[in-house]
Amino acid sequence: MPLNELERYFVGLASGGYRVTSPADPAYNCAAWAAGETEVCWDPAVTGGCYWPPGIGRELTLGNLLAAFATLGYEPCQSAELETRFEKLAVYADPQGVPTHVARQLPKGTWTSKLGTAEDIEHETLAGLEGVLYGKAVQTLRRLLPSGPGGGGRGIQTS
Amino acid sequence: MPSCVWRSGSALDCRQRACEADGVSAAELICDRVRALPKTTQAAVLQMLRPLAEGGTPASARPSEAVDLPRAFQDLADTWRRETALQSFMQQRAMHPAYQRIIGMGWLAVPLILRELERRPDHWLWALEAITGEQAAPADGNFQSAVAAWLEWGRERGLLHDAAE
Repeated sequence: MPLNELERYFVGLASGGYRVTSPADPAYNCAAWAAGETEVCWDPAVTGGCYWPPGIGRELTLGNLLAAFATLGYEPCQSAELETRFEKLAVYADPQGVPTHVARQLPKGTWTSKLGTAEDIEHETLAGLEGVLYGKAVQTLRRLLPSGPGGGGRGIQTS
Repeated sequence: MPSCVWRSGSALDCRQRACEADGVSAAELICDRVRALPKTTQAAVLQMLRPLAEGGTPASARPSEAVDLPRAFQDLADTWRRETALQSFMQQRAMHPAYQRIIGMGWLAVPLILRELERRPDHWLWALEAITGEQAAPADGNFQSAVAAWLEWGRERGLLHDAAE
């Protein structure tokens, strides 16, 4: 997607700072990218090409999304500030509270997001993606990174 | 033309009559392909074509769309892709009016969706499942394997042809 189009949808993106980090790919979505998956969408929809953790409700609600990430060890937290030894996610929702997007914090404190079926970007602030399309970042999650070399391993099995 | 007799929603009986050779072969080919579909799929196709057998117009082909269905489909597909590319979840993308209109085209759209899926893979699987009632993709597969399964499903039923054909 052309940068000027991205910046038209996300009016705070350019001023906050961002860069495109991957080509567009319909195989995975923002929730999958946050979970470390790039071959299937993390999506409660019961349809081909989508994965959802077993036992989690299939309605698109904030509660179900948080429960899905809880299966990876994430739990709600208060701050989006960088904390050593923790990996954080931010969940965006529309004014009705329906989830619209998930971003993952990188070790240096910036954020990485898969934008729908379009590109991945690295963005400096959560506010950069707030607006008409994704609403606001409403919930932050964190999980303790494993200590030692290679800590923070991601990877999930979907098949 | 062969006479395609509606019979209680589950089977199609095609008997050849004396008529032009081209018309006969095309109609027979369609009948053969419908017969080869699973029962549930067959019933859906017949439901759509029933008005035609009764002298009317297929339910999913309003005159304005029947004139150039491929073009209408492509316009809707392009609109959907453009306007939902940044949306994250299928519930949101599938509710877009263009996607819903494509589902509303019914079986007439299936070959067009399959061709689009082959050329520009995207989340057309929801629409295919909604129209056909089939679950061609493996439940635990990834996106690529789900797309491949649906394309194979289409080829097996003569709904998708290789570009060289």
